[in-house]
Amino acid sequence: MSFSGLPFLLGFLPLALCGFAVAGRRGDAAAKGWLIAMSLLFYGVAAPAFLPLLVLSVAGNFLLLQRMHRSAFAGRWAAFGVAANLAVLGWFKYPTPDPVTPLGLSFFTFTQIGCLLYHAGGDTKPPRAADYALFAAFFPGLTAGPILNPHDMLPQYGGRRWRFDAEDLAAGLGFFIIGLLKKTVLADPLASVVAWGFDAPDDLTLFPAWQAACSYSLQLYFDFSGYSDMAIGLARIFGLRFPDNFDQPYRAPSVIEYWQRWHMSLTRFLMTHVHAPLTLSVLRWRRDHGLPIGAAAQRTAAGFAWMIALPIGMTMALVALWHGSAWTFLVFGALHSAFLLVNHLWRLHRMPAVPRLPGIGLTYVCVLVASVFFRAASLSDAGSVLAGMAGGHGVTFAPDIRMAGDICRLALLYAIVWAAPSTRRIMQGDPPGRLTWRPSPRWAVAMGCAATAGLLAAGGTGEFLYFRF
Amino acid sequence: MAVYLPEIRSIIRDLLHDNDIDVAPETRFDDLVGWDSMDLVSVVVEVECHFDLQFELPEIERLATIGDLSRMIEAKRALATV
Repeated sequence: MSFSGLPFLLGFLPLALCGFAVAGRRGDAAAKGWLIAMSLLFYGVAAPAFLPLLVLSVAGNFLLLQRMHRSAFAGRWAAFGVAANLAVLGWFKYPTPDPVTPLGLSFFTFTQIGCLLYHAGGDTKPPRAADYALFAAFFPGLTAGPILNPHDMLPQYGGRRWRFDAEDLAAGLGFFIIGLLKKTVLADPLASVVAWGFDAPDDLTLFPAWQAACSYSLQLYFDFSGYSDMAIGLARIFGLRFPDNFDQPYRAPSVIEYWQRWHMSLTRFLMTHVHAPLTLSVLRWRRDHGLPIGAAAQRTAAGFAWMIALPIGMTMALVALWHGSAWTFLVFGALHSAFLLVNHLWRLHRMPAVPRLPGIGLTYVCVLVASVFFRAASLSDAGSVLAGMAGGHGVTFAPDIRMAGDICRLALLYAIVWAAPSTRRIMQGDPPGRLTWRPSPRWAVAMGCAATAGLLAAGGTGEFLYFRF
Repeated sequence: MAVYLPEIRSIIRDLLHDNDIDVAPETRFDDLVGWDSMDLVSVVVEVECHFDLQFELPEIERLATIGDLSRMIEAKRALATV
């Protein structure tokens, strides 16, 4: 069930809201119980075949957390749990080049792995059953994240009243409406152009090839950031603060910064649990063997390979594998590794900084090229799209392209990407801006219009691109 | 009060190969010119070597300022001498 589909908007969401209001009057346990039941219903409708898997995964990890808390070997139990979770993920996700992955499996598995590692020290109290169920499987983040950090999230489940709060309700609705607008009005209409281009890459001449690639990068951004806004908004409606997942990544002036602003919850997870431990191990090993670890050492070929390239290469390999085992994803990861390493070399050798605007342009072109591999059905298709972008298939315009309209639409979307304030800035004034939401008649009309537009445009392709991961 | 400010300053200058870098207790690592998240791990490993201490990853993640690092060194050294 998609957040932007009419069954969710007109059926599930009103039911969840009304039930929460009623259950909340009976106490916090009833309110939490209602939200867990609605989350199971949500997943059961969206992916009924995999509902038992979700229940087993959440119950199994919860029991493991309890066991860890009573054990003198919490770390070993955590390692066992991580291995078991990864085994389940691998079993479903990587048996064939094009497997049927259970909806949201990567997201709720990573969230739970993060929780096991957080409690691996054995000195943190495990969450209560209902709190854990909502942490791991609350419907707003169940299907495509964000991947939740237990340190930030778990304290939110206890010590608060599970009732509607006017401020949270208004802010949550605002996030949700803006996300809906991004998804149904901005992202979904691009789907046909993207499919048209990527389904017949050998026919793409210069302009259509760029049009298909640019349209896909915009579709991916508005789709996934729209989903994330909606997830953050839904959680906020029920009083929970989900972490940010996007911070205007196409405005990043370097690829390093791009990864700090794109799918931030995944980046944070991998930096915390893969990159940082690996880097720490390498540096300690070098120090223990009398080898230098400073900037001068990092500038040597061997130092760079061990201290920079190895941790980045491993982390990006996992980013690629997280999306799937197809060669296109592996090339996507390899390309981003290469971009990041060039970025680090540039920084280490104190090369003159690229001015901000050219830096943003260069970063975006790098991201665009990699995104062609991310979208294409095969390496040869990706190569064909890139050849088209380089003029390899000629420079004539395809006759069926609605030139002016399509150019205007892309220009408008790029203007939004590069000039419009973020959802957080609009809804929370963070950072402060002129266009900040406040409870006023003018904003009520604006939000009403946005919601109407989003709703009217709903019901198209519906499904979010990241549901497949 | 950052007791270990001189040592931390020296380690950062050596690591970044820049003797002009100056730091205060309230200086944020992210605000240092040319700073990268990996540099924090390098600083911590040098601190571990210099003071014969061991940091855990969650502790490293909590370090935001020079003062944070100094206080953590102080706490770990106090524990080590108990």
